[in-house]
Amino acid sequence: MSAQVFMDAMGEINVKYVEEVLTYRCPAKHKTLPVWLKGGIAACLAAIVSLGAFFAVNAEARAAFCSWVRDVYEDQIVYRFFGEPVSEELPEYHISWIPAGYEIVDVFYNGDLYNAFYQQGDDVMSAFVFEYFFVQDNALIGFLHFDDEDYLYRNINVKGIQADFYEALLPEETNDLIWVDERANIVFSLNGFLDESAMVRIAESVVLSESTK
Amino acid sequence: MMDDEKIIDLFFARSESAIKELDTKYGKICHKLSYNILNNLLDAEECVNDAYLGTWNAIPPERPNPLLAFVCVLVRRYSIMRHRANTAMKRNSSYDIAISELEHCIKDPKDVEKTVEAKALARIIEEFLDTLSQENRVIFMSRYWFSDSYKNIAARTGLTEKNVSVRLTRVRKQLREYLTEREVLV
Repeated sequence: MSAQVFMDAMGEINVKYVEEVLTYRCPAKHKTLPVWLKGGIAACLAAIVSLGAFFAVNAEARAAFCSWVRDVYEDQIVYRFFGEPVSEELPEYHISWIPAGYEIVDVFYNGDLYNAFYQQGDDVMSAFVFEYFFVQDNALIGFLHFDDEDYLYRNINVKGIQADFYEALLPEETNDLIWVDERANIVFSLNGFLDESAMVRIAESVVLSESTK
Repeated sequence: MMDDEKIIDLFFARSESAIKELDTKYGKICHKLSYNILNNLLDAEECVNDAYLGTWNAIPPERPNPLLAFVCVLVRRYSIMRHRANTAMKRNSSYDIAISELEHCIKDPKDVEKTVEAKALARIIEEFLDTLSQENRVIFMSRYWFSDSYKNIAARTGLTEKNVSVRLTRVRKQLREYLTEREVLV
């Protein structure tokens, strides 16, 4: 059967389906939750503890604010970030603990985004992805789920930072972990087929690389 | 704007203002639908006029309810006929893109030619549409009946374009499974 035949048949379907589209009004079905809007505190802390030249360079940008919203849709969750544009290059972080048998198989880095792919041998289903980028305007990250009942959402703690963990209830979906280091003004995320304890341990092992310090 | 009933009364009275009122009320939607298929303003204009003439010829005796859906069916039919006639036309309309998406979904993997009558297939599609949630049905119809862009569908449904894209991918997969189960696809 060709698509053309299908399209012809579409022209023969009951007009009620056409009418449904013409009269459809989308329900207000997603909620937008302002989560953090913490002005200058993070920047002041950053300046006080003086983490070195890195934070000093763009202290004004940090001082503006660090905020984000989480949009929950029926089948995806999107985090949108707001903040002054960051002109400096993304610092280098790395994971200092990974589960046995894992190795890094791919890295993407373009100065604005770091994305590393870890895998156990050839087993793609074992893979997890570590990603980070600056909190700034137009930055966003999304997690797809088949349905909003296909995961459990909870707040957890990663080295004293509040983090969001999404536990997938379907075997084909990944668990997702996201946290924002306000002092560094960076969003981190992990997603993969690992359990919560392994993901938290990986998250807590993220450190600034020597080359950046 | 005039009620559909009054517009239909004008058609029954054979008043030429019937078409004017019809165009005032629904012209924008009709032109957009035709343009989605043809990607040519002039052709779209002509097809919408043909659809208005078809409406003029059908009413009376018809008294379509809803009127807009009835006119849209005619607009789509004339626009697809024109699309086929324009064989030299560059294939870049939303309709072409929507068709190519479906080609990947419903092309018979064994390349077996199977003739299905359009009306019989339409009933199967209706049954399939009934299995979808209203939102997914609106998304699917918007794309494959109205040839709407992802952007417009996103605006209509309040979703992101990416979300619309993901939904359509899933629904096409469901469609393929549905058609295979009913042996429309081998």
